[in-house]
Amino acid sequence: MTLTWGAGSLGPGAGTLPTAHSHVPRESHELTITHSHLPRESHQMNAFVIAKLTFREALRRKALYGAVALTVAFLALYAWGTGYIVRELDEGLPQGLARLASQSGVDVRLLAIGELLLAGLYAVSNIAGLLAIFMAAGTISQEVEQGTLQSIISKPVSRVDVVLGKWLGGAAMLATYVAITGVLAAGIVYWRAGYLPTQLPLGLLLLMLKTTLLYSLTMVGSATVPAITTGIVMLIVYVVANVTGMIEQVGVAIGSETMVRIGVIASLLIPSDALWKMGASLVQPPNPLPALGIQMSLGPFGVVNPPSVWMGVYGLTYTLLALGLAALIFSRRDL
Amino acid sequence: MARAPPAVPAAPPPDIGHTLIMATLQTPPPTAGPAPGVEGPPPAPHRAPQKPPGGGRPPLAVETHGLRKEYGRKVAVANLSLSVPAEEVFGFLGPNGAGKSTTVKMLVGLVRPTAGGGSLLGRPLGDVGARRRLGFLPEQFRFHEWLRAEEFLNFHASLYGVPPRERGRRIADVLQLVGLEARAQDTLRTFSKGMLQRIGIAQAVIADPQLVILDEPTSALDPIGRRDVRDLIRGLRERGIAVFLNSHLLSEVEMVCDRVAIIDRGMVIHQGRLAELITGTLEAELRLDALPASLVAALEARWPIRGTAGPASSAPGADGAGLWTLRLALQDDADLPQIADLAIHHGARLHALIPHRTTLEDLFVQSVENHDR
Ligand SMILES: Nc1ncnc2c1ncn2[C@@H]1O[C@H](COP(=O)(O)OP(=O)(O)OP(=O)(O)O)[C@@H](O)[C@H]1O
Ligand SMILES: [Mg+2]
Repeated sequence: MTLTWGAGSLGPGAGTLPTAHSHVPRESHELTITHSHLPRESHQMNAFVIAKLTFREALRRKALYGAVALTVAFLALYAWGTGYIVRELDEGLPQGLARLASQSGVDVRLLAIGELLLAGLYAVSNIAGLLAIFMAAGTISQEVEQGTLQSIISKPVSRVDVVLGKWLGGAAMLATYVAITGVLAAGIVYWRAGYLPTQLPLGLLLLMLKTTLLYSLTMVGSATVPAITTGIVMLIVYVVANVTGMIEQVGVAIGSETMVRIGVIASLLIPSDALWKMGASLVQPPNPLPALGIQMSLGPFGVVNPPSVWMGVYGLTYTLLALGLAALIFSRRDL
Repeated sequence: MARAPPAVPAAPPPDIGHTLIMATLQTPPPTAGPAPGVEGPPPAPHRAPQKPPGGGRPPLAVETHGLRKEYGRKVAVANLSLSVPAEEVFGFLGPNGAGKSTTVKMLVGLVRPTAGGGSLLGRPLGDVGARRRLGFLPEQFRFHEWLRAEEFLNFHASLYGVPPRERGRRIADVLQLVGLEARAQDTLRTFSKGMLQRIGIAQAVIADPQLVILDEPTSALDPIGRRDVRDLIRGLRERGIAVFLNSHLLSEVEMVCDRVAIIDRGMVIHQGRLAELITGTLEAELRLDALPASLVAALEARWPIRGTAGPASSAPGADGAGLWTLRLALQDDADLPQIADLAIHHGARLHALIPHRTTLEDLFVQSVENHDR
């Protein structure tokens, strides 16, 4: 098989590689190629080449099979459970609740179904958030450790291309995941209970933003320290963000300014939970309780005081700044 | 070097159509000289497609001045100034830890120099555009193992901006070049180490480079693969492509390099044309039972005497004990019989006449040991 080593030829530029046995009449071995192009001076394209590779890697590596299998299982259970729950609701409410409902004119069935949808989306949001952390934690650091980037960076590829490409590929992957599972969850609720929030697309968009934000922030770690370090730190950060988000909700309900302040500061540091709340507030049915003077959501997944649109702007800015920081750190790193 | 022609069956190669098409596309062939070899005539003059028409020296492929890299307290490269002419094969030598790989990483943009700078293909170090015409095989050749060989090459070709319609043909060409055409559809995970190094060489030459930097390209290769890489390097040079070769295999370097630099502890200790660095490389050692003055005069008239030792200087019983030893610098092996004739003519009995060739290894060992002192 090695006899052919010297016998091939390369590239444009009329390149001719002499054969290993170049005293053999040349014509029989030379391949000559017309000079057809000089690569264009556009290496921003390379971000897309890397994005495609990242996307393909996520699909091809078996690491994600587990996530997909569990998601399918979850959606099946969700469809099955939703069907039963709706049937139970339609068989009639408990007496006390029925009386309360008729007195206040609240549609308890709608609220319960809304809560069910939120529960599904909450699962989607958290699975996607964890996927974002796990996918991003190694995306740069592992390739640095393994050395696979050495043959990439030595090509006309800037460090920014690599970070941007990995970000685009990962974000596209996660956005696809959120879109598919979010639409399926909403579709299941619509199929079983006939409830479809009109703001669903915007809500899912905010979930995508949340996921992308976590992905970008994790990339900052991935550009800096080993994957395991980044992964652990980001998991803790994520849990703390969720918990402080709940504290804020409780604070609103019981009127504790301190609790609310903790939540606000935390959501400025890590806006992931705030973005979930924004999205959730768009898909939940109208909450009658605040009108009754009670600052509470109906159930654990609902939202009583959604952040303003500025949180969306803030989240977007945050995401892009984190991406820029990851690119800056990676640009200065020795490989 | 001269490889026997392969046992090719009389039948035309299977891809005869391809070959014919390529042959018709052929532009003026490169200077077809005899294959350059160790002891053969000097390498055929290089084809120089990139030379400016007005003549003059071609630009340097690599130039560095005062290049330095510190890792914390550790100085990996101290102060490195190199000039690598275009269209030549440059051997970059040095003991383990001398800073060869670190230097190469600074050249290709993987590592930022602490101080100093340089240029690559006429552009400053770190310039992304210069890497358009750069091929690089890293010392640690690790690639995306989940890709199939063909996908891997396609990906790397696209990073160079090779248009999609051209990639298929180039992939086929480089796969053939490294002898992996049968493995095109296999994932890299299933490759042996040597096969990975081969595919690494393939990605380094896929996009018509002007400079190819190879960091120990044969470390994992079998003997045939090593020879094939030597042939590949000569082939690149014949096309006017500069090659920057890190290697510990000095015999290999001697065979293919026009110019070498030897570095130690991050500094150049020797740099120059290989032929000049190991000039006066041939020595003849004579062992004689007597050393008449007339013989010395006759020898001296033709060949510089490098040293003489009397019979007393060797230990009794040792090889050549009781004999005179004389060392002459020769230009040519063909002088040996004349030396023998002279010795006999002047009445000395010749016990031994041993030609010694100073090798690159001798130069390497001497200069590194001197430097370390
Ligand atoms: N990332 C790093 N951090 C700290 N020190 C490093 C690093 N990389 C290299 N060095 C040190 O720099 C010096 C030069 O290393 P380098 O890999 O360039 O040597 P080399 O000449 O390629 O050696 P070899 O022949 O073994 O490949 C060594 O002393 C090495 O320990
Ligand atoms: Mg090395």
